[in-house]
Amino acid sequence: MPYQEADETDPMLLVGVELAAGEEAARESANAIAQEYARMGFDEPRLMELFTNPFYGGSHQTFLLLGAEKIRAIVKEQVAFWSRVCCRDRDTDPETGLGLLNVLQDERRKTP
Amino acid sequence: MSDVYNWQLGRPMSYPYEAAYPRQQFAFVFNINRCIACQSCTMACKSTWTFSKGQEHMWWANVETKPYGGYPHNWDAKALQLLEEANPGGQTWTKGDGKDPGAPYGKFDGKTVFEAAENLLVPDSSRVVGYLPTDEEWNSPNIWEDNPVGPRGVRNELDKEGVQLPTHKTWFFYLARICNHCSYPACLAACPRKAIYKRPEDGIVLVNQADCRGYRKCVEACPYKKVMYRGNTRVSEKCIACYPRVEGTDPESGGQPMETRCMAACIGQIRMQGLVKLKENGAWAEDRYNPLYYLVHVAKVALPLYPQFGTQPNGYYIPPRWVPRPYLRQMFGPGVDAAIERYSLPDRELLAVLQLFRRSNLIIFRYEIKEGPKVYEGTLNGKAVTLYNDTIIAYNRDSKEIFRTTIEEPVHVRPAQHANSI
Repeated sequence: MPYQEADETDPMLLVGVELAAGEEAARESANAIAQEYARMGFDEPRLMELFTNPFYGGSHQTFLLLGAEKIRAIVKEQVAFWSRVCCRDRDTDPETGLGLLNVLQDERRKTP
Repeated sequence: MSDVYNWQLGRPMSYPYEAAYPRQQFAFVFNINRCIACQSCTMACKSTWTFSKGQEHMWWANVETKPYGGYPHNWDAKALQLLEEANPGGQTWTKGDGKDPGAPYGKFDGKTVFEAAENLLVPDSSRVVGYLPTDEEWNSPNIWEDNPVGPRGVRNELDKEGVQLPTHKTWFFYLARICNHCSYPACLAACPRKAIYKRPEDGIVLVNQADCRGYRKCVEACPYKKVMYRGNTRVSEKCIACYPRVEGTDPESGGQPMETRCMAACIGQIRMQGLVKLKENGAWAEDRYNPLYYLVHVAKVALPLYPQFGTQPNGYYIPPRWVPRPYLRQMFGPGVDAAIERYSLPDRELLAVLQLFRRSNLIIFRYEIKEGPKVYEGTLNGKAVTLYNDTIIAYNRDSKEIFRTTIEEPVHVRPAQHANSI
């Protein structure tokens, strides 16, 4: 971070200006996120959680802006195409044979 | 000043020297849609070339968060502002139809950093419009990124109770940068001692450390701010494109041209670097199955960074598609809309070429696609799309196969006992 106190008269200073990002940017963001995670082997439920969980700020913003229906359509479409062009590399659980990430997510879903 | 042809601007432009072109040109493509700013490239470069005393502030390769981040701070906003002041309201493009190979993005009607200098009241020695960043601007290369801070004035201590950041409905992206090894380098044009030269064999731009006297005219002139002054040796330094690797003289290369350290370290697989053939007039010679030629001149998904500066940079970017278009058009020129459209709905060949990224550290000189069966038919971004499981084969300089990969990749499941092993 800068060593000096912020100079509020400096036009280059970051002062929290919100850059307009409308529905088109949100749709492209959602497509890009869904594509990249589908290529990493995320399936539809895991991808939907990226959007529905408020912990993931960027993707959740697109969920709030576009709504569940549009996000689900984007996720379905991207998974159908890009899950084939992907590099899947998961840790396996010795008992279930499932990917560890899946197991953890399943457990979290069970937790009220 | 002489007239040289800048194909990225679609017109001749003024340059202080006569045109002279290398036999091959170092060039690269970065897919910004995939960059996660892990800084592996940054650290690979740092640990190879700029780890010595006096180089602490130097990041020949860096990744900055746009639109606010920059190394040095606000380098691009300041360069654009200087050009705007020199030619108010005139920095515009006339869009072309994209069919003319000498003007694929249309024609730039404004002034380059060389042409703007002709009209300004600057010393005769200043052949390029530029500015010298302050010491403060060179520090904090990750400024405005996710670096936690504590109370003001207290070092090495974070807020104990944590801070809740506000949520912004905004956008950002990561811009990875190295020297563009420009075809018309501003650093070279500005050097009063002619200490900077462009190698005829690969177009890599170097500072001759013996001839440099540290006047910093190059630092001032480079619009991308990729030449840096070293205080303890009192000369300037810059990215050397890992030339022993590109030459194939690095022991690791086995005699074959190899990609640079920053490319090889890219875990996001966003980078591809190569050598492209040039015609005598400096334009790219047709080399249809060179992946860089394909991405830049055939698919046209990879675009130069701030082509309006006029240096004809040899770094090309697949633009981030979620960013508002006016910002992208300013950064990558008028080719942005077509590039994003093609990248978002890749055709059969583009999909195959995108699979070449980072499968090998050797430079790919040619690729070949063997057609495979149809494996999917559906929609993507609401448009009809068909997927074929093609095989793409990469060849080195000697036309020997480096690797082959398919569109549909195998699933690798790591066994539990080796979950954390490499």
